[in-house]
Amino acid sequence: MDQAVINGLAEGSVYALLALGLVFINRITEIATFAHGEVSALAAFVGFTVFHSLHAPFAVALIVSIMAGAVIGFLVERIVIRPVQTSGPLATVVVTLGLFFVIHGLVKLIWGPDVRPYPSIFGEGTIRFGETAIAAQHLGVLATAFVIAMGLAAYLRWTRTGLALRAIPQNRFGAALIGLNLRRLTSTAWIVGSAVGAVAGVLIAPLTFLQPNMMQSPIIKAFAVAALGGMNSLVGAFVGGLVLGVIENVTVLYIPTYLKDTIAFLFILIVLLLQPEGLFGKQRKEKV
Amino acid sequence: MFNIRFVRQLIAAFVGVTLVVASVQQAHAQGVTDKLVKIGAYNALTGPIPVTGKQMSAGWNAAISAANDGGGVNGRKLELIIEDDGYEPSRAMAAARKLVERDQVLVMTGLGTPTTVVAARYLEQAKVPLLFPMGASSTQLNQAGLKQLFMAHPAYLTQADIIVGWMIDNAASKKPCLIYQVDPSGEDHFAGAKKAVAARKMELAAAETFERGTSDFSAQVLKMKNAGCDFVYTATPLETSARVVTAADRISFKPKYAGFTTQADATLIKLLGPLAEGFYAADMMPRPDGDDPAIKTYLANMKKYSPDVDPTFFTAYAYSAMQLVIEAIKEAGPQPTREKIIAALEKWNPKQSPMMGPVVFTPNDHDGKRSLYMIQVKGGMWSKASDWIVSK
Repeated sequence: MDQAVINGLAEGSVYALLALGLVFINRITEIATFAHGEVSALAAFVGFTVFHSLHAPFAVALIVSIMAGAVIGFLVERIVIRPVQTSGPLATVVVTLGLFFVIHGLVKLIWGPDVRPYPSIFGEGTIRFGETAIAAQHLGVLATAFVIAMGLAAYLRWTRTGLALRAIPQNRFGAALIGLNLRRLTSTAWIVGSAVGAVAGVLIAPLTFLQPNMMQSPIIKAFAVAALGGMNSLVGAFVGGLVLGVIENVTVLYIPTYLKDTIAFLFILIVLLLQPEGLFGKQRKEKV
Repeated sequence: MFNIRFVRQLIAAFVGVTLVVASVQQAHAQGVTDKLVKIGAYNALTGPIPVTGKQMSAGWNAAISAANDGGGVNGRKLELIIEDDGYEPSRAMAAARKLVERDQVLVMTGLGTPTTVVAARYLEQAKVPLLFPMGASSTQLNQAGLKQLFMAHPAYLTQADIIVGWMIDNAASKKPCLIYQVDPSGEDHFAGAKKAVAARKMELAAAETFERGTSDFSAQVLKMKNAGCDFVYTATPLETSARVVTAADRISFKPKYAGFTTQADATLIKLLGPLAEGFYAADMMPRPDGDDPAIKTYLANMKKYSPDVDPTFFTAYAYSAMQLVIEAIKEAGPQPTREKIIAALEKWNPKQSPMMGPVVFTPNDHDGKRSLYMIQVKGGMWSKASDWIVSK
């Protein structure tokens, strides 16, 4: 049981890390981007090329990956999202879904379908707590997800840009009226969210191996975690990821393991039926 | 205005031309012209196993190109048409239908168990031979009694029976376990593993499952660790085996491992590094580093015709399977038809494949390959661990 809980925290931290960028972008722009996982994978591939083909130190590759994520986020917002932003939620959903396939195809075209080992910034070791063990990589992902969740929450709460970013979803018209540059702020949200996605890509690749399909399973769980945590809550994404990881890993001790995903989504369904705004989401009330 | 005589001449000419065209069409079977024989393949170039798909295409193409450069088959060149199915059964069905109905191929081959299970049933109805696909559920297909399907890759049930049995007898496994995908191939592996332990009056200590596309295996390996497994049969795709081993290593679970033929590949060592040491797998072809002349020719042809793909188990299987397809077409004579090809194949008792060894088909048994040998990773390379083992 103890090891199952540790496994759950480890797996949940992967969901949480990927969900953080997703939730950050959604919180500011109200767009849930289906392309987030592919942006993360693309950034990880860029880092791989810098590390392997250009023989740069891994720290340099990591920085280049994060910068690549930021640039991709900027380009996505500027070229793809901005023209359809006022066309309603369905248009943006379709556009991000289309972007998913475009980036996925691009990665396959450039790097091919091969599966490759990916270096780990935290090393290959295992850390033991009595009878239980956790990989250094998983512990690193957990710590990184925690630091990013807290850092982004602090950024939104205590900086001028953060305050401006928070104003956008509350009242776009009002925010524009008081002189906030909505375009620049929306662009900032995509840049920061995609850079966080790049960190997720680089840290998840050693666990899944580097391949074009590496994010297809984790991104579904990241969406689920985002919904569980409350779609707009960074702390919710972090805690939601850990809760989901533990629930599914402990439950499958007693049932066939292929039902793991079924259990995960059953749990989310029950939570959302009881609390539609998620564990940490704020209920929106509209006067009619 | 036309006169009656002219109209009669016109009708006579039309009927004549129609008869000539019809007779020419009857002279050649579908997929065969004076200069060309068409072969179709469904393949997973996208989806969860694109690496395998790419390697299969490379092996098939190398064999086809080598045959064409050698003059073709009975004066005809060979053309291979590959359709991507994304490893999706429904798309494999559509790919097979397109290749048969639109491209008019003579025979078919392909990759993937779930895809082959579906495509084989369509091809049986269409009476199109499906020759030596990589992977198929012998349980499902044998129950269906398919006459068009010929298998050269050892059935998964046979493989699991041989491998699990060998590990109990030779690697001192007292608590054998397996992990398998919930699909027809997985059910075959499970049935074969159960057969092996039952023959030795034992039981499987654990049999863990997963859905296709799963990327985290921590729950499965924890349950196998808790069950005390001392050997895990990884009845999974190659990349998945690597994930299982790394997930087990993270919780300090270090059983012996053995995989089936698709894992007898350098990619596994590349992905696992030192963790691959000691890993067993079954193989059905000579090792690529040996002195076998057939292997040397194969490696030279891979370098010449598919230089962008490194030789692997899948390229070797695809290459040698396509050599057998070409041999079957050749033996069907100067005017090959699907019926003649099946008649030729059912006389292969045995047929010596340059790379696979003996392949045996009879009118009542199309499961042509029942022997394997074991290999093991030692010092970062695969080494032979047993002689040929024949399924009883």
